[in-house]
Amino acid sequence: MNTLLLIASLSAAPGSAQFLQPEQSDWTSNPTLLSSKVVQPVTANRNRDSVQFSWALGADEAIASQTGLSASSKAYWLDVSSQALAKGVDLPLTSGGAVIRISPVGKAQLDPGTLTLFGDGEPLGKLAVRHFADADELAKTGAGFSKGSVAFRLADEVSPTQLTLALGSASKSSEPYVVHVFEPGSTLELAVHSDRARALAGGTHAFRLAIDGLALAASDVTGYVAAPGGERLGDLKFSASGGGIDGTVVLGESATTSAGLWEAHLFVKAQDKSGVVMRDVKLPFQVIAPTAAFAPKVTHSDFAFDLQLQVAQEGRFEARGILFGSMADGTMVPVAAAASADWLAPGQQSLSLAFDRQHVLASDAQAPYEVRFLELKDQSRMFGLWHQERAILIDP
Amino acid sequence: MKVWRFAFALWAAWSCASAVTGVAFVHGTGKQTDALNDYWKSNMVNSIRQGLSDQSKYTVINCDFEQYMWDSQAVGCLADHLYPFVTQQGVDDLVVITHSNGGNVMRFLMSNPTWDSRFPTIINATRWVNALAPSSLGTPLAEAVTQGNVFEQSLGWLLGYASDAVQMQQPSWMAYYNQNWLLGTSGRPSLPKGFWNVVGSDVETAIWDGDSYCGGYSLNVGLEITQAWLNSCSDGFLECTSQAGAGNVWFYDTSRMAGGEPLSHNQSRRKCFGLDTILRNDL
Repeated sequence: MNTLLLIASLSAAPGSAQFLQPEQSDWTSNPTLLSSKVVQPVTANRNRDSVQFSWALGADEAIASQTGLSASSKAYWLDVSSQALAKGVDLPLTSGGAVIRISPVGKAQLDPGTLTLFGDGEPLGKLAVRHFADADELAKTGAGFSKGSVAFRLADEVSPTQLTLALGSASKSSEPYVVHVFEPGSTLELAVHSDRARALAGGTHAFRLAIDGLALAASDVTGYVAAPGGERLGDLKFSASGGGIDGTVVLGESATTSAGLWEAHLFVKAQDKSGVVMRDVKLPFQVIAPTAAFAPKVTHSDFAFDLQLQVAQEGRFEARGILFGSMADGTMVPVAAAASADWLAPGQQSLSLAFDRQHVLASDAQAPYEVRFLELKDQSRMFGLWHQERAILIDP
Repeated sequence: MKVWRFAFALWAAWSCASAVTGVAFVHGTGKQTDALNDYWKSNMVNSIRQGLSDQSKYTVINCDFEQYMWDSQAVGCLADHLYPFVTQQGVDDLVVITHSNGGNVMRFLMSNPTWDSRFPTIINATRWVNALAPSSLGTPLAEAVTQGNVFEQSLGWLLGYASDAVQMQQPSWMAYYNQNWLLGTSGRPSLPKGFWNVVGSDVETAIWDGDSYCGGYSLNVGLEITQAWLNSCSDGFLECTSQAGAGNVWFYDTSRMAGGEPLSHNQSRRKCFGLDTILRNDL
C-alpha cells in the first residue's frame, strides 16, 4: 500500500465508531447500581494530574480473555492447644515425605529434643525424619516463617495414614500453636476455581472445588470469607454438583479499597478408602464498589476516542484499551495500547483514549479497526470497574 | 529472543550515540535505607557501573518494599528516585536492574503509566529492565508462610513476618495482579519497554563446595525444608517459572555463569560467578 492510500485508510470520519453491547462474559458496572450511600475512601492514589500514554504492540501478541482465578493445595493446618501438643496430636497423612511445621502463636520456644512421633500408633525412630530445621535455621532461609517455627520432613518411605505428633516442651507454655502439614508427594490436591476474580459489594461470589480422584460431599467442606487484614466475614454455603462442590457467599456492602484482596478460606475433611484426607486452600478475589461506569457512547477522531463516563464518587479513573487492526487475511491483530487517567468529580465525565498515530502507521494492520480489552479502573481505590473484550467498532 | 535483544542493543547503540546512559539498582522485598551496602554490596554496584561512560550516572534505590507495589512508599518512592535521576542528570538511556520483588514494583510502574504524571517520563527514558530473579508469578513459600488461620495471620501482622509484600507474592495473589494490574505475563499485552529476566535455577549448599558461600549462603538445613515447596528448577526462593513469568528470558544462570554455576536467590544480587561483568557489559 502506498503512503497516500495508507493515510486515507487511517482517516476515519469523526463519530463513526460504535460502542458494542457487552457480552455476558465481560465485567461491567451497571450505572443504575452506582451508589453514593457508602463513601469509598481514597487510599491508593491521590494524584490529580491528567496523564495519557500509548505504546506499540506486536502483531504476534496473543492477548487472552480473562479466565478467573484458581488455587490448589496439598496442605492443611490445625489450631492446637499447648496441652494437646504436649500430649500428642493426630495428623492424617496420604503420602510419604510430608513436611510438618509447628508455629507458636506467641513467644514460646520449642525444644526439638522433646519431639516424639508415632505412625499408626507405632513409635517412629530418628530415621523417620529426613530433615529437621530449628527456629534459627528456618529464619535463616529468609522465607519469612513466623518467629519460633520449627519444621521437619519425613522420609519418603514413611507414610502412615495417621501421624501422632507430641512435643513435650509445649507444656511449658499456655500459648496456642498452629501445626501445618504439607504433603508434596501426595496425589490428592484440592483445587478451587472462580470464573470471576472480582465481586460486587453486596453481591455474591461463587467457587467450585474438587479433589481429583476423591468424590466430595457438601458436608466434607467448610469455609468462610476473610476481608483484607484477616477479619472473618460470612460463611460459605456448599452444594455437591457433578463430582465437585459449588460454594457461594453473599457479600456485605463494604468493599476493598487498597489494602489487598479478600480471600475465601476453604477446608476439606473427607474420607478416602485408606483414611482421612484433610486439605485447606485460599482463593483471593477483589470486592469492589461501582464508583464509575462507561456510558456506552463514544466519538473518535484520528484514533483518539472520547469515552463518556458516569462517575458516582470522585476519584482517579483510568480508561485503557487495545487497538486491533485487520491483516490481509482478515485476522485481527494488536496494534497499540493506550491509557488515559484523570481525577474526576461525580457526574457525567469523559476520558480521551488516544492511540499514537505513528504506531498505527508503523503496523501492517489496516481498517477495519476495533478497540478491544477496554477497561475502566478506579486507581484511587484499586477497583477494576469495567473489562470488555470487544468494545468499540470503528466503521471502515 | 536473545538475537532480538542483541539486535536491539546494536540499534540502541547506533541511534543513541549521544545518549546519556544511566543505571538504577532496585532492591527486592524489605525496607532499605542503605541498599548499596546492605542489599547489593558496593563491590557489585561499583563493578557494574564501570560499564558507564560517566560512572557517576547511577542510583541505588532505597524504598519500603514491604508495602504493596502500588503504595506511595513502594512505586511512589521508586518514582521519587528515578524521576529526578533522569530529569536532573539528563539520563535518557536508563537501564534498570531489579532484584526479586523489585521487578514487580518496576513492572507496576511500566504497566500503569497513567498512575503518576512522572511515570511516562521514566518509561520513555528507560532502555530496558534487567530483572534478576524477579518474583513475577509469586512463590509458594509466600503462601506457606501466610498459611494458617485468621488469628495467626492477624498476629502475624503484629509480628511483622507477613508483610503486605509477602502477602502479595503468593502465587494466587500475583495471578490476580498479573491479570488485572500488571502487563507482560502470558496472555497479557507487552510492557512498553523490555523486561529481561536472569533466571536462577538451583541452590548448591554442599558444605564442601566453596561456591555455595558466594553471596552469603552457607549450608542450611532450613533450605532443604523450603525446597519441598518448590519444584526442581528454583533458586531456593523462586521457581524458574516465576522468574521467567513476565517479559522475556535473557539467560538462565548455568548458561552464562563462570563454571556453569547456578545462582541462588542471594547470589543473583551479588558479585558471584561473573554476573557483575555480564551486567556491566550490557550497559
